[in-house]
Amino acid sequence: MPRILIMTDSTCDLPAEWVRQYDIRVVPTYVQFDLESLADDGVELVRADFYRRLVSVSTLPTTSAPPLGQTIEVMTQALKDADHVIALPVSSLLSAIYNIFRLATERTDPSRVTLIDSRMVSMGLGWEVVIAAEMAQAGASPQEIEAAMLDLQPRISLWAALDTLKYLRRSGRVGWAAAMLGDLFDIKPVVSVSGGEVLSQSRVRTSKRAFQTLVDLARQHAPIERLAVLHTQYLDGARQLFDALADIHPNTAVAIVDVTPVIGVHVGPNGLGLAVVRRNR
Amino acid sequence: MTDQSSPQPAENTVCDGHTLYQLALAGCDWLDQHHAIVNQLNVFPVPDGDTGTNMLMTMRNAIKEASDNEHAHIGQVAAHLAHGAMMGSRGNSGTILSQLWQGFAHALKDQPTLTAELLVKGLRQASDTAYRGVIKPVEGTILTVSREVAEEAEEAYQDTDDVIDILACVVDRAKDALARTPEMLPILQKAGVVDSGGSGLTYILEGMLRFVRGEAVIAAETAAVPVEDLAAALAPEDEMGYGYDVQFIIQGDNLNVNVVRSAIDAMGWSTLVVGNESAVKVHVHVHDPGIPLSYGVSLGAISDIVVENMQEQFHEYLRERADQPAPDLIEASPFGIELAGDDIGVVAVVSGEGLARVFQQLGATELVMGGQTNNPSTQEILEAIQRLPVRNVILLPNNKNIILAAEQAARLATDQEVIVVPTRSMPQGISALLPYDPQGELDMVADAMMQAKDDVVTGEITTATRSVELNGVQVNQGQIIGLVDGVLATAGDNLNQVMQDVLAQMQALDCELITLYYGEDILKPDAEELAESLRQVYPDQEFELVYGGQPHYYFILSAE
Repeated sequence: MPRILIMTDSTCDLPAEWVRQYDIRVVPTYVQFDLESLADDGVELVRADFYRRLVSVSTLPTTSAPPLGQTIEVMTQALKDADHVIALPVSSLLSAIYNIFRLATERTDPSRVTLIDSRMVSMGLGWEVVIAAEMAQAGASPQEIEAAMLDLQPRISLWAALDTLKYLRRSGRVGWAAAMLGDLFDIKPVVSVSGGEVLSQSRVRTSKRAFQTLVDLARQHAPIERLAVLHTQYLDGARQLFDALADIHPNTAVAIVDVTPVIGVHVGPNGLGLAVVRRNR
Repeated sequence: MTDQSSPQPAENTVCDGHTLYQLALAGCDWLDQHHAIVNQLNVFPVPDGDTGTNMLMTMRNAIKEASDNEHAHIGQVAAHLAHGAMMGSRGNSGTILSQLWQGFAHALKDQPTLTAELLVKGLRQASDTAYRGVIKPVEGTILTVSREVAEEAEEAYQDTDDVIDILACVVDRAKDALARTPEMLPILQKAGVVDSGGSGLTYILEGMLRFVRGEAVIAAETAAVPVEDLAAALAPEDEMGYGYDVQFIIQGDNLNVNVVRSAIDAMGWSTLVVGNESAVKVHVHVHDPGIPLSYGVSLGAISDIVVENMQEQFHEYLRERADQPAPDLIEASPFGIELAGDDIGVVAVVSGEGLARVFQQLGATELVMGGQTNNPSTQEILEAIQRLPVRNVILLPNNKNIILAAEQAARLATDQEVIVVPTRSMPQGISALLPYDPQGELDMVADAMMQAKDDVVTGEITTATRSVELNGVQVNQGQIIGLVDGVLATAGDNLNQVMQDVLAQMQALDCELITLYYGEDILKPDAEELAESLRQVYPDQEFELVYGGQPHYYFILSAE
């Protein structure tokens, strides 16, 4: 049976034990505090430290795609260790990483790499990676995995509730933010990732309402096959959200993860989110 | 950093590996001097302000990689630079820059020295490789600059084989192409900037040219201060920006200069108030020039009015100071949305300029001014509906006395589908507006807004116009009264006490957030003081104080 490895980037937010279990190859993204550049690999930059620094610095850090050279190295190694590589990076509409994966594919062995646009980020991407890895272990072919990903993508939803607009305003990254959020008082936007893009889902003014909006969204999408609760330095809130969905979440395939700095830099601390895979009906 | 002891290469027709290394170093240093400016230009593809930093880090890594081999032949030095750029590339612009080096190095492969012919070939391959490096090449970017640079080199080579002359032509053309990027990419035009990546590439090439001409590539003391530093040094007084410089003269009877001074002082900063009983000269810096002007009008006739936008003056100053052809500061994106066709538009009836701004910012595109004692006519509401260039409209009356007129206007607007969400107060209207989605389905959006309006409890503080006993509350004319969701709840002579009574009846203890909209008759510092004292009573609740500017109501409160 030919061996297939899955390669992704660190915006997938996969818990370390799953990365080990499935031998996922992860290229780190980079966080720049001024001219200090740190890899989001849990070694150079620990996420808890990222959020601690985020609230204290005057100039917001920026995030950037990994170097092409490093991506080529990871891909080359994966191609040594396996017969075929499924390259599954963050949505091409959200980051330059997809293009870097594409260039890396061209420069290594295009015949042995299948590049798929995940159209997702965080554990929305993470679930695609896990499901692809499960299929690879079960002996699926690259073509079967690619077809399954395209079928899976419409069933994945990701929502996030920001505790404050402060970081989104400072980062300026989300285009719609300027349109309807204003600057006269604080609004807690609820956003979704859909079709590979970040969209405004709703706007609320209290954290209770934000929490309830996430719960309602999840319930509207039940039955759920896999569920991840996302948070930015807000484990208590994440646990409460997890418990509030106890009756609809699956017993297995659940996770609570702290979110990639690529998102966190716009969200700031105390954000909550959900990445769910709906059951195929 | 740069070794400037031998700025001139031995000959102008060839260039060896060591010189290429020095050229790259000079390009990197010149970019280093300007990377903050490049960051500020960054609006495409995403305005995250890191293009200069990403390109600089990519260049630094290229140089680091080549530094051990700087005396090798040019093909090897170029290969090391390209490899270093690729290993150190950051972000979109860095990746494209690494591809430029990649293509350039490919053309120089196995060559001991660089001739004019190879330079031309190298620039062409650099551009071609960069174009292939992106999924959808967009003109008006670093790609355009790289392509025009290659074209210019080819043209210049017709006339000369002097590499410095060719480089000089190339830099001129890069600047020219850069200046034209806004014509090619509308988002740049809109932001009033040139392309950031193209600007980074131009700085790199310019640094190289300065080096071969023996000009400094480390900025001298007198060089333009990077905009970022300048901006920090001249930071506005607060996060709302620089505001307006307002000057006028009040002419009236029995004017009290001290009273005017303390009132004006409370409205802004840099206050200067002088004069006598019949004329007072006012100078103040404020965010909203309407506030001191209205105050002046309330005391008498005003004349010699000067209102200057200090934000604009500041930008003007920065533009002059920064050694840049294009404006460097990116204006915050304007509020407001563009609606058309099947989109849903919102008409809101609003009282008070502060509240009008809140509704506008949240997406209400047509406002009808009116409220408790000034109900707008059905006709006015109808006209507002008809001004919206969309088929679907949601109408927020924001006052129980206006709901009927709103419903009538909705029926009369026969060319459009209009749904009235019967909001009975400003806070209800604001709450209803939160789930508004201009691209949603009309029925679903109206449903969501209908539910959201009841997420808040409304409190209103005003003056009793007559003596009455209502709901067990005894009120004397002229007393301060408090209403909760439109029902008389309390009366008294002390504003603070009435506010506390109202908050208690609004069940504020069970709420998370209390928003206070202060009216046109309340000065900001008084409002702040009051909010602070309420915070003491409700330490677990979050308070937000917002200028509402509504007439008649000292405060409108919302609790949620």
